[in-house]
This record gives sequence, C-alpha cells and structure tokens, in this order.
Amino acid sequence: MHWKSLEEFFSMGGYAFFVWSSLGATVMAMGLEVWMVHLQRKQLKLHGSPNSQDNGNV
Amino acid sequence: MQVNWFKYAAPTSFFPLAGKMYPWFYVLAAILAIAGMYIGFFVAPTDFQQGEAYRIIFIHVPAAWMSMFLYLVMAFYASLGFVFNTRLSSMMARAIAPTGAMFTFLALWTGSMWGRPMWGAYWVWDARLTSELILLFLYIGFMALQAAIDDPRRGDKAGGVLALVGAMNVPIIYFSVKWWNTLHQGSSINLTRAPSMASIMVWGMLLMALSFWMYSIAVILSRVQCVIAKRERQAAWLQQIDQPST
Amino acid sequence: MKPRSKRFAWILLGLVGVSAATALVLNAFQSNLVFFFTPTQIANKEAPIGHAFRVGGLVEQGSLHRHGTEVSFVVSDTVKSIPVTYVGILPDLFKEGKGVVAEGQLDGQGLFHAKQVLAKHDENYMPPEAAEALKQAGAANAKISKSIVTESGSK
Repeated sequence: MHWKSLEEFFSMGGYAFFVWSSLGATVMAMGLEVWMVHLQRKQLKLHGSPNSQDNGNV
Repeated sequence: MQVNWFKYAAPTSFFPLAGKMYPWFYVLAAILAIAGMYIGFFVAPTDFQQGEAYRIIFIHVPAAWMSMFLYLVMAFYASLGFVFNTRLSSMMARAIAPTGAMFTFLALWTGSMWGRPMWGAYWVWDARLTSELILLFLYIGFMALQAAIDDPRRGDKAGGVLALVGAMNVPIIYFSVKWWNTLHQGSSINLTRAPSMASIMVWGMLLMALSFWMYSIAVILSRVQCVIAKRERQAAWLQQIDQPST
Repeated sequence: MKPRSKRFAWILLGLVGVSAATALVLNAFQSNLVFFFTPTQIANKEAPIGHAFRVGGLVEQGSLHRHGTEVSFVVSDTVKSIPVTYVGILPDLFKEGKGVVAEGQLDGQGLFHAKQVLAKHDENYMPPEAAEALKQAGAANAKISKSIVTESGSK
C-alpha cells in the first residue's frame, strides 16, 4: 500500500482537485451513458434477460 | 467445411446473441476496472517529476486510446456497410459513435485537468490537442448526420462517407507528437521500444485500457440492440401500412 | 460497371481527393502546427520574429534568477540559447535542466519577453528512487533531455 493515511490519499499530494475531477468526470460520463442506453431499452421494451419474449422476436 | 459466417450478419439473428453477451462484458469491465484502479491508485508509486498528479494517466491514456480505436472500428463498420450493403455493420457504426464521443470528451477533459497543474494551462492549441478536438467534432458530426437523415439506409451511406474520410485524422492524432514540436510529450508505450515507464504503472494503464475496452463492447452491444429493434419495428410498421388487408 | 464496384470507385476517388486536400492543408499550415520554435530555428530566422511566437527548449542550469515577481532564465537546445524574461507565476514543473515553452516576443537586443511560460515534461514515469538511481548512473540527464532536444532540433 502506497498511502500512510486516508487524508494523504484524498489530498493526492496537493493535486486533489485535478485528480478527483478527472475520476469524477469519468464515473459520471460512463454512468450517464449506461443510464441513457438503459432508458432507451426501457422505451423500446427490451429486457436484459436473454430468456425474455422480446429478445428474439423483433 | 462450410461455416455460415453470414448467419450473424443478419440483424435479427445477431440481436439475441448481443443480448446474451453484453451483461458479461459489463462484469469483465468492472473486474478489470477494480484491478486497474487498485494498481493505479494504491500500488503504483509516486512519479519522480509530477508527484501524485501523474495518476490521471490511468484514465487519460486509456480513454485517449479508446477514442482513436473506436473511431477506426466505427469507420471500418461504416465502410463495410457502404461497400457490401450489409445493414448490421452500419447499425454497429451507429452504436459505436456515442461511446467514442464519450471517450474523446474524457480524454480532453482529463488532459485539461492534467495540463493545468503540470504545463500551466488547461488548453493549448498544439497539434495533439487540436487533432483530438477535431476527433470529437467528427464523432458529433457523424451522429448529427445520421440523426438528420430520416431514411435510415441513406443515413448509413452518408455516415459511411464521413466516417471513412475522418479516419485520416486518427494517424494525425497518433503521430502529431512526432511530426511537430508539441507541448504534449511523446508516447510512453511504443511497439518499437521498451516503455519509458515503471512496469507497475504500465500494468495499471493496460488493465484500465482493457476495462474501457470491455465497457465499450458491453455498452455498444446493448445499444446496437436498440438500433436493430427501432429499425425492424419501423420496417414492420411500414409493411402494415402498405398492406392493411393482410 | 456493377453497382458495387462503382461505389468502390467513388470511395477511392473520395479518399484520393481528401488525402490530397489534407496534404495541402497540412503543408500550408505547417508553420502554425508547430507549437514552438527551438533557439536554433530562431537563430536561423525560421521563427516569425516581429510577431508573438513560442520558444521551446531546456532551462539552462544556473541561469534562473528571480527579482521579485520578475524572473529571467535562458532557454537552450544545447546548440543555441535565448535569454527570456517573464513576470508572473511559473508552473510547478518549471525547473532548471527541464523542458519549457515560453510565448512572447523577441526584442531588438535578442531578449525574449514572455507573456506565458509553460512547462514541457517528458514521457518518462518512474518512482523517485529509480530516478535517483538513474541519475547516479549518469544516464538520467541524457535520457530525460533527449526527447525535447533531438526531436525538436532535427526539424
């Protein structure tokens, strides 16, 4: 383990804003994309399960 | 022996396959991301020049790789659809574009978050940064063009041309740091020589790149199902209007 | 001609046309795509002297002086060098012996008045202990400065 304490980890050697906003943007962008595809699937009534009726019959 | 490779080239037979596969790619992406983030943020040592700020590399470089790689895959599918008139390939190109645009945005965003503390500027008009911005515009242009044309087959054709022409930008992005004096540094990972990076850092980066790759496959497969469903329903609906008596 | 080969021909034509256009554009804008000029290029009058431009190279060892908020240093590509003066805050990575890109104008005396100073780092990433070991082996500086000097000097 690289860090000595939790504070040291969060402060990222003084670059906290830059490191965490990069990570935050990544999590948000991916989350948003997955959510948008999910909404689209719901609207089209596609279900995730391969056994569901909808999947084979379009 | 004759294998029917074209079976899965038909959208209706690919549809259930995509539905079965995509959840597994999400699982793979999550496992690889946990491993990559653990190495990148807990195991990898501090950098001798950049301190902890260099940890942005574990997101920035994989995102930039995916932004270029997905464009090439999209252009490949779009041109296949254009030349051989295969519907599924054009649908794949449509499904790839938003994910590619997302990774391009991330590469630019994380790059700017890295540039400010290290270089001293959020943005500079150097060849690497400018050509990556052009890539974002190409993705957006592709999506806009496809959305603007109502007839899906004509949209596929127009998109195919744009995707193929824009593919020229990818080698420009990749080699920009070699061809011109840029503020952006050269590549740490090369095919021709050993990486100029401690190996544990390379491992973190490769695991994150693999994770982004698996994520892309998952989200693209799940989106291509939407594209197929929409188009098949549109076709079925048109048929019903044409032949109301049957 | 079959429709398929006709389409192929169109694509080929489009590709050729676009490649030509790209090549032309790149050629025409070559000078604008270059983010900075090296001191050697400036000595050879390749830089747009009289306009604002950027100079890039290594900060010469022992050349950094501070007078209040004003800093002066020498940018060198190991062949030629240019003295730079700047008022403002330097980026974290700005150090003697490291890469730098300064934007500003050259005056009549050959002094470069910078409006912005950016640090240029290389593509080497390693823990401090490894860097120290390399330095002791005497190879560190040659390796680290290689990327900025050889690549920009060869143009």
